[in-house]
Amino acid sequence: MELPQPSARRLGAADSMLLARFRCSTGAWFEDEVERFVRRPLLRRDAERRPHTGHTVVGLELPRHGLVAVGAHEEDLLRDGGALVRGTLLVVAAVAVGAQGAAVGGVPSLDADGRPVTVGRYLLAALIADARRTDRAPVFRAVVARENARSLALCRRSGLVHVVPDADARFVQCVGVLGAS
Amino acid sequence: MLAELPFTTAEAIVAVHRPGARVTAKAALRTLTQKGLVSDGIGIRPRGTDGRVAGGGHVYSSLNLDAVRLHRHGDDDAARELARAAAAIERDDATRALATALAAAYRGGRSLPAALASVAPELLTPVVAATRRAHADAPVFARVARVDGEMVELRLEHGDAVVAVPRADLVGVLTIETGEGANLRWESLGGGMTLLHTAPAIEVAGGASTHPYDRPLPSRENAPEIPGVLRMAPTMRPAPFGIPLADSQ
Repeated sequence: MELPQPSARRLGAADSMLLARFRCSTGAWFEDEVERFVRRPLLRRDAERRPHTGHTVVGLELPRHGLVAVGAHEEDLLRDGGALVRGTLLVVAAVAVGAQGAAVGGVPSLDADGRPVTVGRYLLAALIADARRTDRAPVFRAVVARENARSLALCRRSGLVHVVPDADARFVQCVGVLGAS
Repeated sequence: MLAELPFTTAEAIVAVHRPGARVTAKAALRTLTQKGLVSDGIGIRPRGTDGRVAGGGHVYSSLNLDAVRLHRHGDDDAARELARAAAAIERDDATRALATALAAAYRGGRSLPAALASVAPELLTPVVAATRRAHADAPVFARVARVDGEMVELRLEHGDAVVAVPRADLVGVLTIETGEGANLRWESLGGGMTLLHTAPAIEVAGGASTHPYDRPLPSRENAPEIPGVLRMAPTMRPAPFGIPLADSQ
């Protein structure tokens, strides 16, 4: 399935009803958790954390499909020995059930193999592009459930290729460094 | 660190559903459950001091309290969603393990808060964390600061604000001991009227939850170690096309 290029917008308190109807789970426990988080607690977290971390929620929308994807990023702190790195945490990235696997038409491939850009890939690109507008270091981290093969593959294709264990044994951390354009 | 009780009772759910009304908990709960507005709950079989099963009981995920509030405010879709989240938590292995431990802790007529407080922290914390993650609103916690005649002063955990609540309203809810934790929820009824619901809170082990959605603000102390991140060669490329981002409406 191919969809037109969605518009990207920062979401806020006025979008609570829009998010409350968002569906992205096909039944896996980690998908259920993401869906529950996006539908209600995400905006609460956004309001609480934005003043401290620049927490930002981004939505992708299409006129006939509504909200097709939701993601969020915020400032992240990592340690390398005694040094502290201020990068970006990709807090969440979720694609609506009806748009999962769909390609975005009209945009050049982001991969060397010419693979079409999926909605999920486009969402990550939008989050990364927005994070680049800050003064954070070009280090990106996502925390992904070990069983979430689809999201792990998306992280790999997006360049978050360094995978290390997370404090929660159910998850791993995927880390990447963004090069200059 | 204070946390909301992960479990509640049928009576508490019915009381939140219809504040001030005198209704039979069993009948009211059956109707709410049939409509998908409250989850099925978990059977607890406490044992008496002789080790034999002494009666039977039922506890419910405390998410059901928010579900019936939403129903009362006319948002049945959100109420059913929370009831489904409550059911998912009740089915979870961690919750089953907590319920088993709770049955053993329910000796000698202990209250639910006291029984939960006596359970091993490693059994309590995962269920508390899962419950907190499913909430749409952040609960407000306070501690009993002072009893002044017929009023009890509750000092909010963050800041210095004090909330005074009639002592008569807290009898049977809190033990009203200095330092005791409480969970406060306000509902605006319009026209200058506010409904305050005070419920017991429990102490849980301090420190950050490990779930990604629960983690505290980033700091030097909690920053994860990623060896070599400063020397990593680029692995990501910016998109070759612009993605304009509009502001929120």
